[in-house]
Amino acid sequence: MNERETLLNRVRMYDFALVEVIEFLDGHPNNSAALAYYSKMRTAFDKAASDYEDQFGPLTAREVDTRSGNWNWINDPWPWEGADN
Amino acid sequence: MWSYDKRLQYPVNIKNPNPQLAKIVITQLGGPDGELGASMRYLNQRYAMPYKEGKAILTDIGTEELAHMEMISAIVYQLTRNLTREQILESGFAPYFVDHTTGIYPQAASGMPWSAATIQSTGDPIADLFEDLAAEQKARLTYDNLLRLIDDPDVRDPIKFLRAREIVHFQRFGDALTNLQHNLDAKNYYAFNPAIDIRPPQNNRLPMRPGNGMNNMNGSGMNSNGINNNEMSEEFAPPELQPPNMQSR
Repeated sequence: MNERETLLNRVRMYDFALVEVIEFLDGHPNNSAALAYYSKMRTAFDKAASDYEDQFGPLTAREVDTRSGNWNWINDPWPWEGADN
Repeated sequence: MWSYDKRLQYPVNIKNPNPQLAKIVITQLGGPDGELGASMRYLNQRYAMPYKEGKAILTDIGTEELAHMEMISAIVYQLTRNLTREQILESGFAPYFVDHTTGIYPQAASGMPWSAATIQSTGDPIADLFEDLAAEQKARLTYDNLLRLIDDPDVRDPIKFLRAREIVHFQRFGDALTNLQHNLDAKNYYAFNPAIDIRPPQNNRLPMRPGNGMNNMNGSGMNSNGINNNEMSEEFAPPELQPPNMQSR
């Protein structure tokens, strides 16, 4: 697995943890263990996302670093093109 | 993947319920030129787009259309709050009401449920983009027709915003078409140049696997870059493509 996929899998892992706990909290809004888990995962996600973005470009169009003077949001590969691109 | 922002793109605050308006506005949720169809059209078409500018435009506009769907639904929702029996019977809203009460269901003004038959995804990006340009014009004229029929400024205001977005998206799809035609073959006056026959630039995947209908119109077995399709098999199936091992635990 290349560096890009390694960092992206870390983003996916923490994002999926967030998806799970968010859906759980929607139905259990006062669960303190879930709230603590959410908070921990969000911190981890933010770090994983910025680690990825520092090296491989933006994950969302709201996080483009314009200092390059180039709209790198459009750069290939796009997600549906597979890990070998 | 997607995430959700807990806000409308543009505010919808309607003071007076009006089921008669709800019955026509809902066409922009589930009608042939509505926002649901727009989003599905663009988000499904983007896989056939060979160039990064077009991929980005289809992705980002397809995403914005989801937000427009939500605005239309909010308009219909607010127009059908606290209805009396008389309002339902006298407004022409009764046929919708018996099937859906005041739930939001994607249908045309005529009552026809939303259908994927109202959209296309041809695998040919030129054909797709011309459809998209037409779709934006059709949505714009639908909003024009709604504005001809609606007096309430609370309803007109978000409709006017949505109408303006159709005009902007028409421009953006024009950008995508210019980019596509330039990249495919700038000298091709007739814009007839199936993208499936060309090899996309740089590190991009082929739109189709080698040996699977890739032959060019000249029947030579070469694509328009002069690359023999049979020679590409190795390049596009490297051994390290195995999916990561997910069994650790």
